[in-house]
Amino acid sequence: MDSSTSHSDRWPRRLLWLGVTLLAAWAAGALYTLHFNVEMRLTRFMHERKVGWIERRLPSTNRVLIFGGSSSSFSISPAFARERGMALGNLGMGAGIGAKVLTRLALFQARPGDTLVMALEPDLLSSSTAVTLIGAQSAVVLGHSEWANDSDDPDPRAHGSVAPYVWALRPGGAHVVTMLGKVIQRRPLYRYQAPDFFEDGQQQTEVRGEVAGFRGFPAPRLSAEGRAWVRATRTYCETRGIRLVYALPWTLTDPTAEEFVRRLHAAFLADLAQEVEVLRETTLGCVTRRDWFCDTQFHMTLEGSRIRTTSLIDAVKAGTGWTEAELRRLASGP
Amino acid sequence: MNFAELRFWLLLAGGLLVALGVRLAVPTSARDLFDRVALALIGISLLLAVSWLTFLVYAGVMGVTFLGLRWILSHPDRRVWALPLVAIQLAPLLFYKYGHFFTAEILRQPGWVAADLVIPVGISFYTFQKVAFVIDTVYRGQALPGFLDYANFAGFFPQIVAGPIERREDLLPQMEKFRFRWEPGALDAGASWVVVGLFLKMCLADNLAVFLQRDAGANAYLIWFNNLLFALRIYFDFAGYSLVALGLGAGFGVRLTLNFASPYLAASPGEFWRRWHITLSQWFRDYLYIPMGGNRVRRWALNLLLVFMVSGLWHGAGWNFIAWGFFHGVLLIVAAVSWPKGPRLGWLGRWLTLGAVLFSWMLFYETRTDVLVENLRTLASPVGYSKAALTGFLGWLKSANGVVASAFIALSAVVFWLEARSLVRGEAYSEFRRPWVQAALIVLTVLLSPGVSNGFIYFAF
Repeated sequence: MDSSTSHSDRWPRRLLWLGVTLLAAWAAGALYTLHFNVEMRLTRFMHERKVGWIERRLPSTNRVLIFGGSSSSFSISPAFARERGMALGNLGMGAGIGAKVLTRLALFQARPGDTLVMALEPDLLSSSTAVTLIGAQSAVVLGHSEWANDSDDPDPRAHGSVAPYVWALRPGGAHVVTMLGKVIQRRPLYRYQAPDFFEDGQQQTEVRGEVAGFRGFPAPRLSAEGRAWVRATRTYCETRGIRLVYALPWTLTDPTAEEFVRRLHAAFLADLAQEVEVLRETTLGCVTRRDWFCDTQFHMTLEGSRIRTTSLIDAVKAGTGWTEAELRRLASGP
Repeated sequence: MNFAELRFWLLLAGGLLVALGVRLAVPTSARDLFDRVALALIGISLLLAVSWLTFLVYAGVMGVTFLGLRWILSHPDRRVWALPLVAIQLAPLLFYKYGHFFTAEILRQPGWVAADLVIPVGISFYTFQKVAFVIDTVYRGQALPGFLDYANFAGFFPQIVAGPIERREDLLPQMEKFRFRWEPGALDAGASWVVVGLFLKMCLADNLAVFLQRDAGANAYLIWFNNLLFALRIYFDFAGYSLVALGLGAGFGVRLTLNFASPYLAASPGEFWRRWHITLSQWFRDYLYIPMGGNRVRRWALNLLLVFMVSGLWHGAGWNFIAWGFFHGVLLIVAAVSWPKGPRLGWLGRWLTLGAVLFSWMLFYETRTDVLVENLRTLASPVGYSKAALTGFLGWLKSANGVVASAFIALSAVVFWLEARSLVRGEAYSEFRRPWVQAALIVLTVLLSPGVSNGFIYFAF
């Protein structure tokens, strides 16, 4: 490379200085994410607790493992299922982790003979399935950075590019602003805490607030990426002797919109039934009992979670799911 | 070729390392040629990394332009043959971008061209640059350059996919003299522009993009808020891209045109268009408006309207884009007639211009005609501004999403304050290039970037 530079100005000093600033900022972001981010600390704790229950209290095979976002974490009670003779593990984490990392996290635990209940929230399958910032951070914090691999291969042991999760070790704008707001208002840094988790991994909270029932907006629709991901997961499970089924999370629904929402859910499930067995739960994910929910329209109380767990046990044991034709009929209304 | 993706920078660094490594083995006498070949190969590699389709369509337009020009320049009726060549240049653009719109909306044959046809990245930008090249070469009697220099002019990687749309007289001479040089000053200058550009894109545009609510219902406050969010997002997105391109060019010792110059601080609609997507505005002025007669003919207003409607269509194949162009055309005509001596309204002029531009973005982003009409009704109706609507809007602002969106709007306000200070100093964005401001921009970009990969909006154009 030719040079026309004077002796005293041989190096691009500003470029180097900016590079050092970039590295320092990234290092600070990574340090915060891995050691001080309360959401990540709780993620690590909840994963340990859920996996601990599966490893200590469940047999080594023929187990039922449910995974998804916080709707599963709140709504499924493994201890209650155990009383009813089902070896159930609850791997529900946070929906912000995203479809790919949540699925790989569950597949990592699954063994031949197990039933894996995919209970991903419709949001996670109706848009892009790309690995999110929180998803990548969670994968690294849980010691499985390979789960942040953005490929369409659900294999939890497949390694992909290093770059996404290295770059993901930063808090992100929404997190920083939210934390600053909480610090200024002297509120707890995170709504949920370790004591909210039972030994079986189920989550509960004392927080109650105004929760509006779902009215059908945005309407759940299976995206092309969501469909491809479900299909790839089914193929992966088939080759390893794992039964994969889908269960729609129960949602607090506005009573005046119940019939409409049931039809929307039926249409969403009909799309899913083309790819995977859909558990035959007659609620179609619509529940109008406000007292069964605590702080969001997806988070069920202990009472609600027992009803939900019973329904799940019955549906898994029944062994026959909805057919696509049945769901299409339900979607078209009476 | 997404500057916001790590992959682009890794590919570029890899390409440069290979090129500079090979260069060591090249005799000094052949290095001029080697440098220009290497630059062309780096550009081709980066285009191939986007997709085969992108590269093939680009290569087709580039090749046809060069061969067509060579044939035309050897022909006595060169001016006559230039127009068919321009038509051939425009054919891929018309097919990929407007094929479905024309067959479905005009011919009522929606099945003739697929609705989900993938538009090759950058086609609107490089096609316009090559059309201008043909016109400049033929009508201004300039010589055809060598193929290598032409290829580098047509495919200089920082600007090929989203501009700036460069002119022959600005870029070609730089390509003819291109060499890889170790210029610390140029690298520093380039890096400072890249930092500003990535901050605007990754910190501001990407965070704001999350909060745009497609359905504001019958709430005028939410619609205006959406317009504001979109206005900020598209500006930070496109200006960010353009500044990274400028910085990359500077790092390679190539001066590209500043494509934005604080447009939201404009004091009149005319000034807005002299500050927004500057190279496209100049293209339309020089290759469409002036050939139609410019300001000298009696039907100048009609010409202006037509040019802006074509500009709207350039941004997208849809009635809403035509309406957006029409609105800006009318705005310019009104400003020219009622406000002929230039911006004398001071801050009132700035706020009026900003208000009109904010309104116009709704025509741009809302591609669903029924929703657009409903939004227009809401904005025009007192009910849209009711107490209930205000309560609903304030309720959203107090939500977690509302608080985060407001924080990024506040950060945007700081950006505009720095822009205003820069304009006072006489150089757009100069305040952003101070060392400590640059350090702050890097820290903010690293810590606040949402990690969601949003493509640059203008890639779709």
